[in-house]
Amino acid sequence: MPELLNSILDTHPDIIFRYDAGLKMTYANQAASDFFQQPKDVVIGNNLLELSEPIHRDDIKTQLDTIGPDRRAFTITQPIARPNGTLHIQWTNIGVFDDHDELIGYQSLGRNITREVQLQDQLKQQTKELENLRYELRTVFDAVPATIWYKDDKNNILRVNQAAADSLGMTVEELEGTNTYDVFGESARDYHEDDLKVFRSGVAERGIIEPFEPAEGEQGWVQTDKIPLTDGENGPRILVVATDITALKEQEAILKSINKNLDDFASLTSHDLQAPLRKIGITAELMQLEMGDKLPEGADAYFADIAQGVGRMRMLIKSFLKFMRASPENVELGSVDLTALLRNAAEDETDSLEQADGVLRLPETPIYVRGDAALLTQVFANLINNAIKYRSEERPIVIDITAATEKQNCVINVCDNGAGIDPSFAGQVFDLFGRAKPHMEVEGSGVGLALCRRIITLHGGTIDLIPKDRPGSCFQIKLFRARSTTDG
Amino acid sequence: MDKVLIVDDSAFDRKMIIKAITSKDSNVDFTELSNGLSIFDTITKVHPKIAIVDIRMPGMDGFEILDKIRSIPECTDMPVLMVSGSEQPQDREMATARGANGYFVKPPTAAGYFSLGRTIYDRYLS
Repeated sequence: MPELLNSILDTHPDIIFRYDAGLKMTYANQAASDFFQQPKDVVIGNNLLELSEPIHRDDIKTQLDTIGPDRRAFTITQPIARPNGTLHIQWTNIGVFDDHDELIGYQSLGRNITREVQLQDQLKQQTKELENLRYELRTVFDAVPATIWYKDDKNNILRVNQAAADSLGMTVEELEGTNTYDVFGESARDYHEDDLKVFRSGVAERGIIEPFEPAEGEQGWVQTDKIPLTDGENGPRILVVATDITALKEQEAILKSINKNLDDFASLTSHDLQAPLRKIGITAELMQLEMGDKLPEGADAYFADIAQGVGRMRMLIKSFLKFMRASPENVELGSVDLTALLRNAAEDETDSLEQADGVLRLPETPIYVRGDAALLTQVFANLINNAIKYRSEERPIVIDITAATEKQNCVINVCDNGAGIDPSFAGQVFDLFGRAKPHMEVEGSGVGLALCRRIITLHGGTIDLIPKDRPGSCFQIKLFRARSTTDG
Repeated sequence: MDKVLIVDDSAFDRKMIIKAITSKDSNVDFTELSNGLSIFDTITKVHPKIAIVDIRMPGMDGFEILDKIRSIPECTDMPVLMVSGSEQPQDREMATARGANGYFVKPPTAAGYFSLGRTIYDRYLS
């Protein structure tokens, strides 16, 4: 039996040794020998303090001195520096007493708890990192200006951010863990049913615009995204993010009102301006009709001047109204076949072109842009008309319209060999009522190019007068490409 | 003798429509109003065959006057023609929707007025 016990003790992984009251080692197992880094026959008979590292000796002596009849054992954990890392040994030191309670020796059992200590350190580190991460996430979550709700399919509120809590005049702690029916009452049913639709479809619903009742203050508007999520074992979840767009809606309403006012103003102005104009034109006409034979020679020329002035004023009013009416609400964007559109724009100018003995070259292959077909037709009809109107007397007019793609844009050049534009006026050609020499003699409202620019700007594009080597003008328009006829 | 009621705040435009219709037939009696305030009294007194009403007027506009005319039992089928100083697509639609019989833009020329006068006479007075 002692042999078996010896064998067990000797092969035990724990460090086991005995020493007498003078600290002389009387027994050591293999683990002890490994620990002291000495063969067993060196360990046994040696002094414990001699075997221990100098740095630990005082401490060992002090701790062992505390063993007595009143304190027969103690446990202590000791870190021991070794070349390949620190060992953590948990020592249980037991005093051996005789029948008279006299201390006659000690037994020590050392358990290598290095791995446990490392794991504990790792756990501490990971817990700290987790805490930091939770803090960061919470901070970010609460800093988001939108209200965020994280719920399950039973409408339990799992998480809310500070903004969501503030919107109800409650705290995050009060909300998390409750059910929306407890917070909102029966009005939670509508939200719940919307959420269930999202859960069932599995598809996020984004950009839902709906009214919102804050805890304090007037009703507002929010834009909500509802995103279904799956949380592994815990079942379906939904993330509801709502951004307050009340201010945006108010600005939109103001803008709509301004645009309506502008539109009304334009209509009213043109109407009010046309009444006296009509009176002037008709009165002059009636004078000529009813008193023509009584009027002096040369009166007809004056009447012709009146008619011309009235006609020009009417044209200006019409163009101005068109200019004022070109507003974002009136733009309907879709995929437009530019080549077909240019052909349509050119059709109206066929007679003028023939009379001028002119040539118009258009692109032949289809090219698609994103735009409002009616407005863009106006632009190109205007440019073609201008080219014919401001042609040179020295040569027949040739108008070249080319279109090419450049990354996400379509670049259209409308170039002619006409009279050209004096470079000093180049900066004014797109101004409302701006006219450029030598075109002051030619009839025009001065609104055409301003209207073209306004329309192209509403499309998010650009129109510029670009330099040209030869006589004539060249306008370059850039519009967004559309991928196909179905790309709206 | 046919009777025509003209409601227009512009004396010139009233004069021109009278001149235009008279050029076709001088045997037409005209009653002129510059606003719709006395429309009920005038219609019940004059019993016009047709009414020509300007749309844009200060205070009561032409559509309100049209509604008032249509509310008079004897005038539910009386031709009412709406006129406007400028082309407004929404006015044309509104005129049709509210029961007007025609919508015209005031012509910018005397010749245009005479042509309009002939059209009105041929359609509603002859």
